[in-house]
Amino acid sequence: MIDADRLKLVAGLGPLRLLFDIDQLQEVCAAGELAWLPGGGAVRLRESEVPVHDLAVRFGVPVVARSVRHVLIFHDPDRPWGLLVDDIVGVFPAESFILHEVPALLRNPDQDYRRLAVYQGQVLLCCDGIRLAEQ
Amino acid sequence: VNVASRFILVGVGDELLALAADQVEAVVERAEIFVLPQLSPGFAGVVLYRGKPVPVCLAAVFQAGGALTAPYLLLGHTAYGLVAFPVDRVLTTVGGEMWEEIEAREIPPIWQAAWIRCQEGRVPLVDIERLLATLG
Repeated sequence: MIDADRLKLVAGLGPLRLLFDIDQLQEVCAAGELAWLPGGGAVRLRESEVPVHDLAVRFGVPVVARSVRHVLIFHDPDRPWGLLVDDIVGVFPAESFILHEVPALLRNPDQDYRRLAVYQGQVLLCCDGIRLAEQ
Repeated sequence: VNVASRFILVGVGDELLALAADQVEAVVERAEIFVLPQLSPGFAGVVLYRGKPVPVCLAAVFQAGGALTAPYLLLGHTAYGLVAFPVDRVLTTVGGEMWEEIEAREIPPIWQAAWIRCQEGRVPLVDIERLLATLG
């Protein structure tokens, strides 16, 4: 049996690599296959309206032509919500990643991430769905 | 006149800078800079050094040559741990008795601790801690 607590999802956003806990996610959808509501800030998913935030805007990632984007739908006791990212890199065992605190010089109160992960010579942002939902 | 054992001379664009050798951990070539979002001004992201993320500083004095594409990163010791600075060239190390206090009639940048006199001419000595304080 696979324990979801031990798995991490890696998503791409422009040049960034983002790390999410699988157990915070409800599902992952191709953005183009969702029923977007007028204005583009929400989708209709199984008769519910789900707000979707664009992480590229939040992180200041330049807009480029993105062929396939994805929406990460997060669990929420009140209402699920989504984050728009680019590609899904994969799902990996948690022990594959070495976690580090963000270096002191780089921390600021408005940051949406507190830790970095190192995986195969790459640096990823550890994204906390709960923190992102509070913004 | 101050005394320090050795200095490392680096090139940033057309400028030369000197750092006290005992403040320098290493100079690494072609290290990948991982750009991070939501950082304070003056920082671009991190570089991996011995498997750990080290902040990359883009203070104005280190930006002359196109900081994110600079061929070298100088890793300096600071009160906050290691910090990486992009540099274009690493020239040499020079001996210590060649430096002098800043002349009173000159107004140096805040980050400049002194001048170094050496074969390459008069080179400003960077005080890394002061440089970081200017970013704060």
